[in-house]
Amino acid sequence: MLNTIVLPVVVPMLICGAVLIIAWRLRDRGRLIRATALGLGYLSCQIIVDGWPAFPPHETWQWLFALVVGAMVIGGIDAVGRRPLILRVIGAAVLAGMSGWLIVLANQEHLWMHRTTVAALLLLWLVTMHPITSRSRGASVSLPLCVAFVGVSLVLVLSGNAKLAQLAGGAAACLGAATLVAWWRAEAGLGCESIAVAGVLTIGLAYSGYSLSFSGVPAWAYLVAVAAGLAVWVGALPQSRKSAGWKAVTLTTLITLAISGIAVARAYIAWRADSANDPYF
Amino acid sequence: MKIRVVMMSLLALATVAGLTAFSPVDPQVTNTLVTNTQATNTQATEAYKVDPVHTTAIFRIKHLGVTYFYGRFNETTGSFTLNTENPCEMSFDVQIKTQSVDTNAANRNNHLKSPDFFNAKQFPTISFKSKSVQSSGENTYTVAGDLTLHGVTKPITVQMEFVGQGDKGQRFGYRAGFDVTFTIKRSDFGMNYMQGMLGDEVTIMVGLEGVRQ
Repeated sequence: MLNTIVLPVVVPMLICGAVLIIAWRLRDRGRLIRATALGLGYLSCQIIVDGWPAFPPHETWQWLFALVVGAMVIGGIDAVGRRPLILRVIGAAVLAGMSGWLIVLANQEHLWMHRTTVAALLLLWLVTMHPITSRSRGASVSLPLCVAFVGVSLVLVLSGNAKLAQLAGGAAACLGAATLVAWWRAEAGLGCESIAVAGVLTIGLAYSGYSLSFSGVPAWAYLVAVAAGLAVWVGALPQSRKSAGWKAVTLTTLITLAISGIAVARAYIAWRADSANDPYF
Repeated sequence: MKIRVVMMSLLALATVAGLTAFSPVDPQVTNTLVTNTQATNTQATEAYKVDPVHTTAIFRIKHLGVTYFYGRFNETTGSFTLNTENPCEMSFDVQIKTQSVDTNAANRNNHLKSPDFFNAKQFPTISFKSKSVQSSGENTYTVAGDLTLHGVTKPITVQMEFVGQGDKGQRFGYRAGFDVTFTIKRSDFGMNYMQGMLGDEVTIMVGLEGVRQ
């Protein structure tokens, strides 16, 4: 229980929260540190769940460790200076391309279709989420993303991927900590510099779960679980921006919850179908 | 005239007898040679193909520290060579499909095939390839080789029991079989998940049956 649930949740939560508070205390000088909050929290979770990473990793999903470090670097560069749009797109394309290259199995059927899909999804995530998160404050990003990661975690556990579910749960715990910090001090919450890490994790974990799983959970359920995070955009709509901050966050979170719920419900149906006489889990 | 005929007949008989006596193809010698050749063939190294239907691979692992939980693999393939007179000529090359793991519960099977344990998509086979075989007693052999599990290859040494061999008729052909039980630590092969809940030691039992090729 301690190793399975408590440590992979509590430690990342504490690390992410502490890093955000330190970054907030340092004010402008802390922007670079803030870019590492979600990433460091997740890395601690992967170390707790899977041990110290080997390089090169033994399993494809273990590349997430290195990819998160890469995403933290991109987030850090974002945090310290304003880059021209073209450089931002190139950085996002490199990260997306590397992700597609590394986490897809080399013996995967339709290899290039899988690689292209992963890269395109991540690129889409980065391009669409960056503008909205760069304008957001408080918990308007971290809370919906926390809900989305809980959804990804549930889909993964229902498809028989407990380890990947723990990692998604660790990321959700980090985002939960970021939400608490943001409620305490709105300017201390996560911003656009964490969106690359969130994208690599949500797409990387969901794809790994889908490609390495033998369960009956369909691909679209994983996709919907990932897409739930994009509901952050609801907060950027003119109607939402006119309403009070907490109302916009609540609306965004409820929409994220509804979308995640569809994915989780589909995964649950698949799990039930495989467990007619099986009380496993 | 009669005497001449008798003499000619005796001469002919003597010639035939002499030719027969000095003939290089002695029927007795021929029979002996045939028997020896058959014996040599029995001792020669024979190749067998694993019969997946009559080969069994099961495993057991401690669950919650209170009992042993058993599972099996439904797809085993491979080959071996047999030479009981000269064991160093013997070899084993066996593969088990990880996605054929069967524990009588679909969700648990899916879990075992996931990256939590076998990661069957990335590592589709467990394989054993022998490097040396030595006799270690009556019908037992010490077999050293490489076991590859979860993409990690480690040298192991196992004791194999030679169960039997024989011609089982047209339907089954000539067959031979071995039985082996050995224990590994799954953590040695990078399978560390759920330590405590599940034991680290896994005992693998294989009943190997092959058809002579």
